[in-house]
Amino acid sequence: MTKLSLKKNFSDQIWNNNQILVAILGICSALAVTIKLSVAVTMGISVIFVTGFASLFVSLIRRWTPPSVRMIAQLTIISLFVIIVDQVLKAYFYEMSLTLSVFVGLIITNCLVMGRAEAMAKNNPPLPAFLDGLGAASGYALVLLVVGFIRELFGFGTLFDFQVIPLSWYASPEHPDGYVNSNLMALAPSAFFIIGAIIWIRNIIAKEEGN
Amino acid sequence: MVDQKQSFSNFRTISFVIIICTVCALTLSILAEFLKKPQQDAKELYRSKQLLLAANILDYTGHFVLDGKIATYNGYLTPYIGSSPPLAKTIEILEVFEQRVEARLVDDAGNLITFKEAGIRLEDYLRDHSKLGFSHLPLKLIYVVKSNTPSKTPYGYVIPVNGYGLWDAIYGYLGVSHNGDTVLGMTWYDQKETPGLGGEISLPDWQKQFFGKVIFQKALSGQTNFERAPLGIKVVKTTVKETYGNSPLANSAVDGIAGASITVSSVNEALRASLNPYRPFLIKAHQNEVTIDD
Repeated sequence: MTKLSLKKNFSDQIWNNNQILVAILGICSALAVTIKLSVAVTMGISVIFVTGFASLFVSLIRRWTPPSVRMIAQLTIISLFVIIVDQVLKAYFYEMSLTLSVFVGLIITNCLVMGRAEAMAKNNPPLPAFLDGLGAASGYALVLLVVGFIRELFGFGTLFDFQVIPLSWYASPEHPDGYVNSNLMALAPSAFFIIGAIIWIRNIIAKEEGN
Repeated sequence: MVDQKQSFSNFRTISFVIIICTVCALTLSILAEFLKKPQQDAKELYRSKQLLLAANILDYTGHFVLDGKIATYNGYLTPYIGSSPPLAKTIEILEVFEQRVEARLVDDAGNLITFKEAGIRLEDYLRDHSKLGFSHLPLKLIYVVKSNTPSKTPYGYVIPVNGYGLWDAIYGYLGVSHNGDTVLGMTWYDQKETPGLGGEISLPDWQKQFFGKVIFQKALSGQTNFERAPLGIKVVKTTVKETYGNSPLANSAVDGIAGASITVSSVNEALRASLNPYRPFLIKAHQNEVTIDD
């Protein structure tokens, strides 16, 4: 295994095989947790942790896993890491866990985690599988970040809860034609449009590259 | 793959499953043991924060508040002068909580009793009753919020309210000022309502509406009959302005949430049912008969 191909395990997942943009997996949580950047970042890190380590452990036990129970075994490992994330959030990021608790639990059913375990980790050695898992989740986190950035900026005028668009630009009774936050951006459908647009742009670029 | 499949006997498959489950379960129990303390601390800090929010001592941006103005903490709260007030630190929040909030009991006649007088331990009391709420008990829980400067009259009271929402029980704090009537704030700190719909009850923008409302509903004449008046804050279907206009009833109502009619009626019911047993106490508070010794 050369260094280059190891690196490819990781980088391929970010652009060429991005799980959201190419495989269209993990859309559900991408719609729900991109309302604020801070939430998107926490979710992204959680998914990177879960996917990376779930892939690593699924790969480590691949020789001893009977095919008849492999899915159950994968799910058990994934759930283990999801519960770890949930418990750590509850202990050290309590208020974040209140917003995220539903979605953290749902990482278990996030197709991209299971997808990487089933398609890559169960047939490959630990290191490539680990990098592949990290890459897939980083690709996911990256899309979450972009969508979260757009939604928070235009929906609330803030980034990481820090006011970016000057308050003096906003419409007030004295300046009725000032700037107004877009309410659509605060709602889940906007993430759908943004992800659609990103997929479209990715396809155009991929076409020009000849892929 | 076909060969591999045959090489796994039933015994091996079952032992594999047992080992995987045991290892995972063991890992989780060890982790849970380690995280128990920080999790409890985090929960307690969150509760204290929510209680201070309900008492309007902390605002939603994370600053201390004194008489409606932003304040800072140095042993006690002092008004802040300047343009960029510092946020309240975790340790300061806990200290202010310790200094100003005291859990007490209210009996059916409306008398304020300390836990010591009743011979009950606070921890036991909370453990036994926090699930079903306190308002139906003969001795009901109330948080007395002391004044910023030593005084026999408390600054206000925080009453725990609870009820049944759409999905699960909902728990909140209602802060009333020392006149037993005017609302200082309302928070719903534990709810599992639908995010985006009923879940709005936990958002600052909605909760802020409660400030300044009165829990004893005024009669149409504008007078309050404390013995008979319905208690609670009514969450109306649309907006208060549309429903009540300039009627005195508008003083005890807040705007509704679209698409959350079950949550809204749960909130109404929770407030009504939880506040009614405190009526004798609230009347006493209104007549300035409640004092605390320092």
